[in-house]
This record gives sequence, C-alpha cells and structure tokens, in this order.
Amino acid sequence: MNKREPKQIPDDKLPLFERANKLERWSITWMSTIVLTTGLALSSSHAMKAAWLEDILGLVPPMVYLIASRIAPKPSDEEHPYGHGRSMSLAFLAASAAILVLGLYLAFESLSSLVSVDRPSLGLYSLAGHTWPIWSGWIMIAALVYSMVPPIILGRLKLEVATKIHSKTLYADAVMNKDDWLTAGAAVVGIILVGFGLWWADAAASLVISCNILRDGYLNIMRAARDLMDQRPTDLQEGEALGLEKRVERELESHPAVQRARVRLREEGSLFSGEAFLRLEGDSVASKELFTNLSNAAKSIDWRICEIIVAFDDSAD
Amino acid sequence: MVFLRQVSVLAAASVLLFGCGDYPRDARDSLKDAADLGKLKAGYTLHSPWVSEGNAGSSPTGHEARLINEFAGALDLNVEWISGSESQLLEWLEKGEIDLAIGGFPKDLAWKSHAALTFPYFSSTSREVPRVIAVPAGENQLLTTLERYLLEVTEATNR
Repeated sequence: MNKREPKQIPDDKLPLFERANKLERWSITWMSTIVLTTGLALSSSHAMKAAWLEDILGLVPPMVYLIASRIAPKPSDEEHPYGHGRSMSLAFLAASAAILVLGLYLAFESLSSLVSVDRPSLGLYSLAGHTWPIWSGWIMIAALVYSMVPPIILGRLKLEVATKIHSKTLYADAVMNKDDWLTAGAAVVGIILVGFGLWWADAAASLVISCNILRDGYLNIMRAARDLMDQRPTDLQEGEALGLEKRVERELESHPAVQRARVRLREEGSLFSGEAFLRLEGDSVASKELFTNLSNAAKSIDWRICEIIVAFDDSAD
Repeated sequence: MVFLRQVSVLAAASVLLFGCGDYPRDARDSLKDAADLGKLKAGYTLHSPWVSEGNAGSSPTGHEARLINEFAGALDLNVEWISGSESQLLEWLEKGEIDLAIGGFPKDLAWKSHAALTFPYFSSTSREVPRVIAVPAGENQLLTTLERYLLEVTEATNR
C-alpha cells in the first residue's frame, strides 16, 4: 500500500505555528479566569448567564485547536494513508455544532422570558453566605468589563498569525474573540437599563448575545463543512478562491515537455494538495525524473501546496 | 476599542450619577408609590416565631413583623398588614398588590422564581433553615433598600 509522504511545513513558518499554539494556551488561561470571575458575579440576569455561557464556549475552539494540532501533523500510517490533516476540520465541525445548539437554546430562553414578563431581580451582592452593601449589578458590570479585555487583545494577535499560517480554525476562533465585546457590551447595557427599571432590557440583551452565538455557530459550521467537502483553496477573510490552480497550470505549461496542464486543489487544514493532469508534447517521454521535477515546480508556487500528484491526460479539450 | 471606551465611560457615568440615590430603580415603582401613599403594604402568613398572631384585630407580632415595622419606620412609612395564605401572597406579589411578604420563608422557597427573595437575613448557628423575605420580582430599589436595612440590623445584632 502506498502511504503519503509526511507533510513538510517550511522552516520559516514553524515559529508561527508555535506562536499559534502559545496564543491558544494563553487563551485558555485567560478565558478560564473570565469564566471564574463572571461566574462569581452570576445572578438572575439572563444577559449575564448568556455572557457567561459564551465565555465558557470561548474555551472550546482553543481546546479543539490544541488537540487537533497534536493529531494533524502525525505522519500517514496503514490506517490513514492520507495522513491526519483533516482532524482539525472535523473537530471544528463538532465544536461549531455545539455552539449553534447552545445559541438556539439561549435565543429560545430569552424570548420566552420576554413573553412571560420575567422581571430580573438584582439585589445586593452575596457570595458564599456573605452579603455586601453594594448592588450586584455593579459587580456584574465590573466582571463583564474585565471579560472584554483579554479576548479583544488575544483575538487581534491570533488574527495576525491565522492569516500567515492559513489556519481557518485559528481564524474563526480569533473572529469569535474579537466579537466578544459585543456580548459583554450588550450585557452591560442590559444591566444598566435594568437599573433604570427597564426589566425587558435584560432579556433583550441576552437575545442580542444569542444571535451573536448563533452567527458564530453558523459561520463556523459552514467553514468546517466547506473544508470537509474539499472546496478549492480560498482566502481566509473573504472566502474567495485564491486562484492557485491557474498559477500552477501556467507554471507547469511553461515546461517545454508540457503541452497542457489541468490542476485541481483542495484544502487540508493549513496545507493544500491536489492533482495535475498533463498532456505532454508529442516527442516528450514520461519519465520518473520529469514527473518529480514537474511536481516540485508545482509545489514551489505556494508554501501551502504540500503534494501534487502528476497524471497523464490525453483527453480532448 | 472605541466601543470599549464608550462602555467604560457609560459605566463610570452611571456610577457617578446613580451610584447612591435613585439607582437601581424599581420596574413598577413600588417604593416610590409606597412613599407617595405613606404606607408599605405588607402581606403575612402566620409562622411562629417569625410571624405570630397579634391581639384581636391588631397587626401581627414576631421577629419578622417587628423587622418590617422598624424598616417602615426608618423610611417614615406606616405598615398596612394584609393576611393571606402562602399562595395568596404569591399571587399578590406577582400582581404588585403588596410590596413584600413575610412568613418565615426558607431560602429555598418553592416559588422563588416568581418573586424576589432577600439574602438569608437570619441564619443561626443551629440547624434552623436560613430565612428570607419576599418582594415582587424586578423591584430592585425596594429589594436593595430592604437588603441594606437587613444588613445593618443583622450586623448590629451580630456585634
């Protein structure tokens, strides 16, 4: 049986992958402190609960990334002749589905508390049987404002690395982090308005948050699904085709032995692989050396292209 | 980042403007209405020693009844006592017809999702369940005012 060569990540990119792992470990540390502080300030506010759940959910993508980043580089073996590159997309799909379901649950809960006129009661702040003479709303707002800071900073740092190493998982996580201020901000506004006697503001804020979670879940599912469907390589931000196929074809056709080249590519995590179908010039002889040269020429187009299988194609246009 | 700054400015402004006096407010203005009427409408159900029957036709006695009388006194209000069963008190709280309800309620009261409960103001060293007082849900000014009072009173007795 033929097994795939282990994938090579260029040496100059390795520090970036290291950095991505480090940022994700930092994310888990900081998000845990947020989950803890927000949890201590929890009360009967729906918006607060929604923000808390989103903070907990924020732990999932970094964990998935770290686990998958251990599995993905494993070399191909008897059971997995194509290697383990897909593990990232698969893990991410599962995490996104969980996020979507939670968003639905939250949206339903905030709508039903709006309909049933469920007025949030916020008294003095109590913790572990002790009560302090300060309105619990202020404690909640303080916790929420704290919860805005680390994700915004980490999100920006991750966004930068994600683009450089072409990791959709990291990119989606970074975008989720960057949007976290919306969650915390909506909850803060909701609580301030509840303090003015506007009881519905709390449920409205948690509705805004659940819409944000739903959006995250939906976008991430679509991203992961497109990867698993062998979509052609696309740009991280806009999802537009990179057009690498054309460039590889032109590179191959520039070889004197090649009359026509047709290429297809797909994404496997950070890296791309695919096939090149060649029609050779009439007097050229297909040799192992020629094919190896052509394959290497194709891979030189972009660092992310890790494997190109070269095949004959004598079909008409 | 701009949004972050806006939120913190908003939060800081709120602290300055509403930190002490009229903030948080009630969703249904219970405390303001009580001040306008000059009386606090208190529902009670008998539960000795927290709420006991007073002399014929008069207001209830007991630990909680005394607490509420003192609380109203501190706010320059009279107390209008209304007697009812637990389920009646719940109904009146939900409709906003009474401002608070007492009856030696335990802190894990079954209908706590339909009303707001104060922190357990009474917890003795014995195995007695901690007791709470109920106010209508969402009346956060009334709730915090009552809780501040309970905090002062319990701190005074603990000392």
